[in-house]
Amino acid sequence: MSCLLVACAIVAGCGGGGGSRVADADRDSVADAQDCAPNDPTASRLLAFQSEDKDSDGHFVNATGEVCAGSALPPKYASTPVAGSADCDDANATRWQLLAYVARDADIDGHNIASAGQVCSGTNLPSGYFAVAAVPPEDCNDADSSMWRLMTVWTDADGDAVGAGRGTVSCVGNAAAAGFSLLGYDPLDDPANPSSPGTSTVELAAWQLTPRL
Amino acid sequence: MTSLSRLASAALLATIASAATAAPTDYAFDSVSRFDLKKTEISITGILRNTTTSTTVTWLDNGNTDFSYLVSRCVPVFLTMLEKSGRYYLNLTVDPAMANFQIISCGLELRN
Repeated sequence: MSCLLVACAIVAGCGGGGGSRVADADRDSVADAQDCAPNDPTASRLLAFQSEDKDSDGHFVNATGEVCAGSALPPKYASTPVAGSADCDDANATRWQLLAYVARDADIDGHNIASAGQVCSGTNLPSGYFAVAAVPPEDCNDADSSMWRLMTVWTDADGDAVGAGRGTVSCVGNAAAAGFSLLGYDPLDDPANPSSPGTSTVELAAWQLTPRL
Repeated sequence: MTSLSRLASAALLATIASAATAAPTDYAFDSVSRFDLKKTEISITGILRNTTTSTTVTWLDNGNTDFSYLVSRCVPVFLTMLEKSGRYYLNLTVDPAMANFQIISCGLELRN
């Protein structure tokens, strides 16, 4: 009886008597124990790399490590370091090289300022960067797209869109700030006079504006 | 010739050459605050475009009445610029190399 139990145990332990077999779940001929990706038939061994291209734009950065691969490294990795310039932004496929600029339009209002430097770019400089500067620099406030030009403005006390007095230079856009006007020839800029608005918007001949004896 | 006189001569030649090659200069005023007519000199003061400080441009006008036609024609332009502040840019071209009449042109441009 005891001999029968031992024989049964041997048969069960050998898996039915088919001989020894190595586990290979993905059937890539690499044993699971040695396979770095036991469930992926395209990858089985660790390969060393010295550069990588995370954004797949064809431009690499230096980085070392190992990656589970097949017979060769995947396209995003290379076994050699970067020979020339590395990708300046390996998280953005549209930018890979540093290009020089001499003018900027940070607020994208179509008016730039002189500002030199380098910026990570694609084939061309990104929007808001220029290789040629405007002469003279156009934008007096490159942080606000509603302002770009220096102009003399006049206080407009009566709100009729024409100011008076001595002008001051201010950074403006299409119009002056509230309380100011781009025009400065109001003959009566009196907020206390309700009839004054409108008077100065009429074009007056030069002789009407000139004091006469 | 001593080295000192050579230096003086060189400096004089350089000055003459500089004056002879001086090109006409364009000015564009954003606003004008003052205009002076003197006997042989005219000046105008104001803010040039894209600047923040006052500038005075002065030029020679050595002509008599018959030959000062250009200045005479420019006077109403200057007055209009003063009286209609903000309406126009004043464009001036002055040639400092000219001996007697240094103003080349004057004009108004709508400022918008």
